[in-house]
Parts: sequence; C-alpha cells; structure tokens
Amino acid sequence: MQLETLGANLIVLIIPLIIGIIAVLLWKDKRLVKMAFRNLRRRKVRNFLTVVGVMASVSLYVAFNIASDNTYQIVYNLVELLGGNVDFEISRVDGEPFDEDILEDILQIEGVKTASPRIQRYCVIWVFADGNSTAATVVGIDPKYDNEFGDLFDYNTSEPINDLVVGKDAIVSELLMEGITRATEDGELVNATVGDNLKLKYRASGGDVKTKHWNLAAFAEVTGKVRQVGWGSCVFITLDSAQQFFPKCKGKVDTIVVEMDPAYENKWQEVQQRIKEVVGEDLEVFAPKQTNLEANQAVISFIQLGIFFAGAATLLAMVFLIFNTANMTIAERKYEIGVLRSTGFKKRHVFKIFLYEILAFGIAGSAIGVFAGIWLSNGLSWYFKTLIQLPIDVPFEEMKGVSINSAYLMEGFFYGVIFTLLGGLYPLLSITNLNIINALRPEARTSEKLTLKYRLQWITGGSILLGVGMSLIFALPFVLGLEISFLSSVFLLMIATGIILIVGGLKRRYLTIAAGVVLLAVGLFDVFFGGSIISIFVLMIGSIVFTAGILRGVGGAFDFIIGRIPGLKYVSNLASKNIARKRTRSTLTFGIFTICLALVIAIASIMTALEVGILDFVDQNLEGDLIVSTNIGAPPNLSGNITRNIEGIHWANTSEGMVPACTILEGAGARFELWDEDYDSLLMGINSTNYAVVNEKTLQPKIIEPNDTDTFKLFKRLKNPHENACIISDRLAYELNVKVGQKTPIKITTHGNITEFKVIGIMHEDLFGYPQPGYFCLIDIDRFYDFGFDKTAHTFFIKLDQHYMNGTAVDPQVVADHINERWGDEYKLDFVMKEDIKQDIHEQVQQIGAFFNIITYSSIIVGLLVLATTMIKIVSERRREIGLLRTIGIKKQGVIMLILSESIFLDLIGLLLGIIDGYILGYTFVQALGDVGPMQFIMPWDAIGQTTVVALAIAVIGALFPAWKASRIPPAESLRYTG
Amino acid sequence: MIENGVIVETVDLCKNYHLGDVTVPALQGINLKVKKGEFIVIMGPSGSGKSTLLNMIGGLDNPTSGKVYISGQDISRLSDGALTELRAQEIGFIFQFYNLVPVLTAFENVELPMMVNGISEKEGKKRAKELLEMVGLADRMHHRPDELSGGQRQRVSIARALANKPSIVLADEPTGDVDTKTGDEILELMHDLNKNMGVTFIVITHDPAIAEHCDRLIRIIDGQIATDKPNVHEILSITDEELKAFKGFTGYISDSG
Repeated sequence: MQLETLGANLIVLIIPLIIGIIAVLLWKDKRLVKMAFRNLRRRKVRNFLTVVGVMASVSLYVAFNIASDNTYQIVYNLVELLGGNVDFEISRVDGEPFDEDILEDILQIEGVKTASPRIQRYCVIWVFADGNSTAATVVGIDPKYDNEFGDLFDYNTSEPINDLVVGKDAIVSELLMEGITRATEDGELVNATVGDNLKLKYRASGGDVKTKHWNLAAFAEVTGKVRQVGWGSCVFITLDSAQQFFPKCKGKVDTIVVEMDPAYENKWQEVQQRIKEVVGEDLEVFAPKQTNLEANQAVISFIQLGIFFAGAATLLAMVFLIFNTANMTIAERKYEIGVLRSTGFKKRHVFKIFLYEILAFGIAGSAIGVFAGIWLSNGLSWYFKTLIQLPIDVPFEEMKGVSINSAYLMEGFFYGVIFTLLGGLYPLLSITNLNIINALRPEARTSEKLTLKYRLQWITGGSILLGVGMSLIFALPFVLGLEISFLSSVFLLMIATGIILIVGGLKRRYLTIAAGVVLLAVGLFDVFFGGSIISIFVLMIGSIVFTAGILRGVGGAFDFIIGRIPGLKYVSNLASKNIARKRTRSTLTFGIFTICLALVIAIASIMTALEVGILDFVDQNLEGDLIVSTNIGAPPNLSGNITRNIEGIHWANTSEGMVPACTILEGAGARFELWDEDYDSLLMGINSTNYAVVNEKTLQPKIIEPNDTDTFKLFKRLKNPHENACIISDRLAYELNVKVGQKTPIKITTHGNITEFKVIGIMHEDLFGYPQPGYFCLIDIDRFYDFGFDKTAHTFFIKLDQHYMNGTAVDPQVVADHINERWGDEYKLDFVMKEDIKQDIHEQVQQIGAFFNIITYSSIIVGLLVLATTMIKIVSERRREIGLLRTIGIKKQGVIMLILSESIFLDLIGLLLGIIDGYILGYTFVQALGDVGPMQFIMPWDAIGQTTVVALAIAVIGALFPAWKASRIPPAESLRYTG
Repeated sequence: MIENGVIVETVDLCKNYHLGDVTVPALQGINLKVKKGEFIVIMGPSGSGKSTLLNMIGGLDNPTSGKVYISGQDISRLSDGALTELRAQEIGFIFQFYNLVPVLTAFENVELPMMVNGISEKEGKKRAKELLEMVGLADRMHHRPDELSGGQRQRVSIARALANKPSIVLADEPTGDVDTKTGDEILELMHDLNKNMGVTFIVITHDPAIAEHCDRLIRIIDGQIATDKPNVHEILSITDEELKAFKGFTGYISDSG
C-alpha cells in the first residue's frame, strides 16, 4: 500500500474516532461549552472573520486538490495530442533516405501496431506477380533519379531480377515526365514510337549498372492510367503516376513512423529495443512521444506540486490567523481569566473554555469550507478546461464533470480542525502559565526573564539535538553505508534547532536573530546541495525569522525613509516603534504575506519558463506546419493523396497513422463495404471455400450477392478505364486458378444481369492494405478484416517543403487553399497553421498563468483577514494611546495615517521578503524543471509589479476601517477606556 | 483674546450622558471663570462631574449646551480639527495614569507634541531636554515608561504637557497613582511651574494637600459648583446649612478673587 493511500485510509478511520472523542468531551463539559459559546457571541465581527478565514483555507485546499487531479488529465491528453500517435520515428543517422523494405520487418515486431513511411520522391519498382513468374512489371521512374533506381525484385523469391523473362528489349536514353524518348544513332532525341526498342539502365543488386532492353509495346497516357497490363509486359510510367495508382510501392524513405500497440505502452523501451535490433545500427529509433510525455509529466507533476503548496500555504495562513486571534483574545481577556481563576476555576477549566472556542472555529469553518471547496473546484476545473481549447476541433478525451476524490474532503476537514488547534496551541498553553495577580492588574508586565533552570534546560536540550544531528549526518554514511539524502534535511534541522536552543539559553535577546541565521544557513545549504522543496520553505521561514530578529533595525530604516516626508515624522516614528515592540504579532502578519507573495512570484516565474518551454516543445514536436482537420472524418490515405497532388509538401501524415481506406461492400460469401460515393477502390473479400473444387482447378462460376441496382452502380463509378476489371490477390488467384487476362469465376448479378470480371492484375495480398485506387479488388475474406478499413482520420499533419522551387519556402496559406479547393467540400476541412497554434498556446498559457494567479492570490485573502484582525486588535488595545495622541494635537487624519502606515509597513516587509523568497523558489523550481525540458528562468517583473499593487491595496483595505473607526472615537471616551 | 485676564470661561455649561434609555446629567449649568496664572483646584465626590468639566474645558468632549471660552474664543463651536490645533498650542494635559506612549522613551514622549505642532526637530530636541532637566529627569530621559517609577512617569507627563508652551495645563488626579512623598514632589513641581512660568493650572484631585496650595478651590457636587473659594482654609469653614442649601442650586457662587 502506498504511503498516500495509507495516510488517506488512516484519516478516514481516525476522523470518526476524533469526532467521537470530541463529542464525549463536550458532553462532559457542558457548562464550559456553554461559557465558550457565550463568549463567542461577543466580538462577533472578529469571530466571524476568523471562521471565514478557516473556511477559506479549507475550501481552497479542497478545491486545489480536486482541480489539480482533473486538470492533470486534460493537460496529459493535450500533450499526447500535440505529439500525434507517433510512438517511434526511424531515420538514418546521416539523414539520408533508406530502403522501405525494412517496413515489413518492422511490422512483424511484437508491440508494433502500424508502421508507415513518409513518402519521398525516389525511384520505385512495382511488381505484379502471380506466384509463378513475373506477370508484368510496372516501373515508376523519377526522372531525377533515372540512372539510379533500385533493384527489380521477383515477388516470389525476393531475388533481384537480372533478366526479365518476358518482354522484348527496349532502348531508352532519356525519359521525360510526359513521355518516352529515344536517342537516334546520331544522338538526337526523338519521341519513341510503338515498336521501338528501348534501353534502360539500372543498378542491380551488387551495385553493377546494367542495361536492359525493352520493346515499346504501348504508351501510357500522360495521366499515368494504365490501359492494359499484359502478361509479360513491362510498363514504364512516371513515379508520380506509380505512387498515385500503386501507392504501396516500395522505395526509399527518409523516415518511418511507427505506432505502438497500446497494450505495450508501459513496455515501450522493450519495443524500442526490438526495433533497434531489427533496423540495425545505421538507423536511429527515436521515441518522441514518450520522451515528451515524460518531460511534460514532470512539468505536470511540478504544477501539481505548486498547487499542493498553494493549498498548504493557505492552511499555514490559517494557522497564523488562529494564532493571532487566539493571542488577541487571551490578551484581551487576561483580566477575565484572572477573575475566573480567583473565583475557583482551575487552570484546566479555563484552558478548556478557550479550547472549545477555538475548536468551534475549526469545526464550523472546516465543515463549511469542505462544501465551499466542492463548489469552488467545479468552478476551477471548468475554468481550466475552457482554457485548453485548441484552434482545431479534435475529439480528445473530454472531462465528464469533476471527479471528486472523497479523500480530499476528509483531509480538508481533518486538516482544518487540526491546524486550527495547532494555531491556538501556544496561546492556550500561555493560559496555564498566567499568574493570577498579573492577570488582574491592568498594566502589569507579563514577560518574565527565563530562570536559570529554564536556561540550562534550553542549553542541554540544544546540545543534545546538535550532537545527535551531527553524529547522524556524518556518521551514518560511514558506519552503515546508507544513502541519507532524504533524511539529511531532517538532520540539518536537528542541528539548526540545537544551535538555536543553545543561543537562546545563553542570551535570549539574540534568540530570534540566531534562529533566523541558522534556518537561512540550513535552507541555503540544502538548496544548493540538495534542492528539495522542504529546503526552500526552510529558507523562507528563516528569512522571516531573521527579519523578525532585526525588526527594530528594519523599523529604523522605515522611519529614516518615511520620516523625511514633511509632516510624517511622528507617524513613521510611532509606527516603526510599535511594529518592533509587538514582534510576534508583527512577524505573523508580515510572515503570512511573505509566504503568499513568494508563491505568487514563484508561480509567475514558473509559468513564464513553462511558456517558453511549451512553445519550444510545440515547435520541435508538433507534426507539420499545417494541420488539417475534419469533423466528419476522412480516409487516412488522404494524406497520401495530398502529398501526391499538392505542390510544396514534404510529407503528410495522419494522427491515426498510415492506414488506408478502401471501399468495401457487404455480401453473402463475401463482404463489401462502401466508403463513400466517390470511391478510391472497391474491395471484395472472397471466401474461396464457396467455390467448388478450386484446388483441382475446376472452375465453377458462382453467382454472388449483392443483388441490387445501387450496389451494382458502384462498379460503374470506379475510376479506371477498365470496365469490369479487377485486381486479385495472389493467394486468391492461386486458389481460383486465374491468371492476368483471364476472367474470374466471380460474378456479380443484379436484376438478372451477370457481370463477369477480367483480371488485369494480381497483387500480393499483404499489399491490399493499399488497394488500387479506382479498381475492383478481390482478396481472401480472412485477410479482409486484417486491414482495418473502417478507420477514419480526423487530423492530418502536413510538413511543407522549406526549399521548394528555387529555395523559397512554401506559403502554408497557399497550400491550405489548394487542399481546400480539392477536398474541402468533400470532407469539410479546417486548417490551422503551426504559427497560429503557437500563438494560441501562448495566449492560453497566459490564461493558465492567470488561473494559477487566482489560486495563489486567493491564498492572500487569508492574509488579508490576518491583517484586518491584527489592525482591529491594534486599535482596540491602543485606544487610550489614540486618545492621548488626539489630546496632544494629532488630528483624525493623523490617527488614520498612523494605523495605515503600520499596516503598510508590515505589508512592505512581507512584499520585499516575498519577492526575494519568490525569486529563490521560482529559480529552484525552474532549474529542476530544466532537467527534463527546455526551461529558462525569466524574472517575472510583471508579476512583481502586480503583486506590489495588490499588497499595498491589501494593506490599505485591511487597515482602513479600523483606522477610520479609531479616528472617530472622541478623545475623552478613549482616555476612559480601561481595556 | 483674553479679557480682564480671564483665560477660561464656561457659561451655563451642561453635559448629559445617555446610557441606554437613561440620561445622566453630568454637568448642570456650570458657570466658571479662570484667570491667567491661577492655580485652580476642583474637588468633589466620584461622579460629581469634575473630569467631565475638565474634558469640556480641554475640548476633549462637546457640551450638550452652554459655552466654553478659551482665551476669549468659543471652543464649543470649533470643528474637530480646530479643537485639536487648540489643544496642541494652548492646552497641556496631565493624567492620573500618565498616558505615556509605551514604545517611546521619556525624551521622545516629550518631543512628540512638538513634532505634531510643527516645531523643528532641532528646536524640539533642545526643548525636550530642557523640560526633562527641569522636572529632574536629566539622567533618565532615554528610558521607556516601563523602566521608570510612577513619580518619574508623572514628571515626564508634566514635561510633555509643557512641551508646546501652553497657556493652560489641565491635570486630572496628577498624584492619584503615586505615593504621598512622590505626590508632594509632583505638587511642588506644578506649583513652581505655575509661579515661575505663569502657566494656569486647573487640577482635579482628591488630595487635600494639593488643595492647600491652590489659589482657588472649586467644589462640584452633582454636576454643579457647590463652592468656589479662594483657598482651602475657607472651605474648612463651610457650614452644614450652606452645604445643604446647595442641593438644587443651578447657578454659580461668584468668585471671591
């Protein structure tokens, strides 16, 4: 069981137990509970704000975690989508094209689902065969490579053909795209005519250049349509035509893209290794999708971690809030405590009254917070989902509502109550140490010097911690040979705590500074040598504690600067001294702002780095320069059609891989299926057992379905000039004992009309994955289903030729217009340029950044509540002082200025520390992210500017009402105030 | 403007406090004149309206009806800002519980009113030092209030009250929180200041010792001036009949000075 699951289960079990214990305790102490609730009815505003603070923290914690889970899936899908379904890419080390032959071997590898080449324009050879001998040869020639095309292979033996066994020799000296020429004896080029002898050079296996001669039997049309492929003929057509009508032609490719079987997703390295073994050392096998998913998974995890820390920060803020409130309440009611104690209440009774008050905050706030969190998480998740809108309409996995993990609800409630109690712990403990006499005296001093006994205890305890920590951190690796990288932070903290206690025991006055210095040192050490998130927070806490230690000096600096402004000398003087005097309260107030603002700035810098990284990632990994999408779907071989027919295209691919489409029909004993009305080809799967005595070569004509006019019309629409022609697979041809030029026993009947078909070509059955466009094709029924012809593609990625036509790059808009012209109406195509996507992603990252800003700024709300309660307390306890100030001549505005300046001063400390800590936090995060992707830290000046404005606004908002109220009290009334 | 040397005058001064549905008349038609340089002591039982009267004179509170004149100016009609300025320039306050700013040193407490009044920093520091020396705290001026004894704090309070060279010092139970010996010292100091600097003192006290050294003793009962005598010796001769006759009295007995 994983630690998280164990923890979650424990929480689920413990909560009812805790509730039960609390219920019993409350029942036992009914009287004290009643007193606690009566006390809560006093100070309604402050108590309400406290409950709101708890509620806000818990709801944010719950919402963050739920939203984090749901947004993870969206981002994951987005990343996967951008990368397409290409699991592996195979290319030569030197970037040169290589033989496509390797494709068949790759397809045989376990774990490989599909593999397809990116078509390049090289010489190809296409061979028809019937299994016995070469039936005919179609040679597709790329004029640029007319003297270096690949070998001719015999289909059956896979041996190179050194001599054509059929056909007559021909001579050709030059082959033009639009026809065939021959050279005269004088070297003049003339158009060849039927009957001419043509000579063609080729490179046989072994590398020798050979010459073959053929007699020109017929011309192919310019469009490349083959009129007749006669037995033993060799037909020369242009490469373009060969690729158009025989797309599954072997040749050279620059890249083969492979899609993996999803069942092997967790074993992708094994599949990659097998491919490497098959393709050899000359070819490299990349796994772009996995690499990018891993990189982005790390990014997603860091984002989730950021969200987690935002949630943790709100809980921490809540602790501060409760500490502040409890501290203030107890300080205000010290006299009341003295009265209770003097009238017979024991320490534990008084303790319990205040404990139940704090518990009431925790339970009420947490319960409401959990429900508020669910509502908030819906909003956050919906908002985040609307941000992830790509400009192309791609059906990636939709989020079906918000899935709520009940563990988060439990955790939120549990942490809310526990953290509330944690925040009130120290103030509660101070009650037990309260002297009754001091409590009853109105202006009694409450701070007492540590006795010698306590000092010795501190020094002893500190020495023990220091000794143990140092022993463990240095001794363990040597003694036990353990890796202690994880525990080193803990041991360093032990050493730090030990030093702090020793210093505190020796000279309490320097305790805070010493604590700050030590925590800073530990944090810095761990950041540079460990880099854990914990060390960053130690650093943050250290900076806060250190600043608390030098608060008087900081106040002096504030006074020095602000005191220069005419008329504000007394304001700055009083404000700085008041801040320094109430160190604990001041530290809590500016401390919470430090943490919240540091998070804001850190997240801003991370988002900036992420944006740069994501855009780089998109640039490198987004398939193609132009993305074509269709809602209604298109045959995947549209990519091939696009490549062949549109100028300026380097390659085209689909998100579903290179699976061709085909028109097939349904019928008895066979299966036909239609693709659409405008067919590429018509494929029929034949169950050869339907035909009698095929093995003995006795042919029995069979009449087969379908038997309707509409279906029959399909045959009429086939786009080839051969009426009633078909191409048959080699296995079927063998079983049915048919040869090229013969009629097949398969007939189609409709309304009494019987149509017979003549075999014009026989093709290896594996190659029917790319059936001949425009032809009626026959294949064994068993193989029929292997080709997955029901696939459709929705997205096509097109890479443009950057060096097209005299080196000028192709305009993607021009290409898009051409594609749209040809296929736009048919498939309802949409077009998006890669640059547009990058721009959209830029804008969406900005919005995502704003989304995270909402999250982090919302944690500042708790800080605002802390500040407001602090200022209310300040005004309350200094009422007489305010009355005095009014008496000696400070006007109402002066009182307001004084309170506001204290608030702003605290805020500014929090802001400055927050910027520094946020810089360190952000820098560390980005550096860590950089290990898995292109990340660069950029100072988030925008965020710093925004944060400054927000912080100052909070300082004013939090203090304005208390300040205004303070100025309004008549001096005489203030002076009568006894607190 | 001071007319006939009268620096403080109240005319039919009334102040009512509203506590829920109950209206409590704290002052009922107080008519009082105080001349410049006088050392006035106001005595009376708790709740008689002494502090209320002092607050009215000091502009710390507004009367329900009637008028208060400071140096001939009707302060009952002044705005809050004008009253504050008046307090800063004309009136010094000494409180029973000192009301020193706890975060400031003695020196800074005395300097504070001068900062508020716009006195230059150099001048303010010089004067603060002089005042603290005058009240005998030259060696304690950089200590905070919680580091001073009660008597020392009250001396700081006196020095602060004199910071802006007020024409009037209002003292509410200045010796109420100190021992007898210290109280005597405080009293002597106030007296010296009154005689040497010509500052008008209006002092509220229960301490008969202070009453012995005043120029006039005013006795307030139930919000009305019961007696207004030139010195304490005469108060001791008041008869029961005279005292009884004061019940229901609404005017003031003319001064004998």
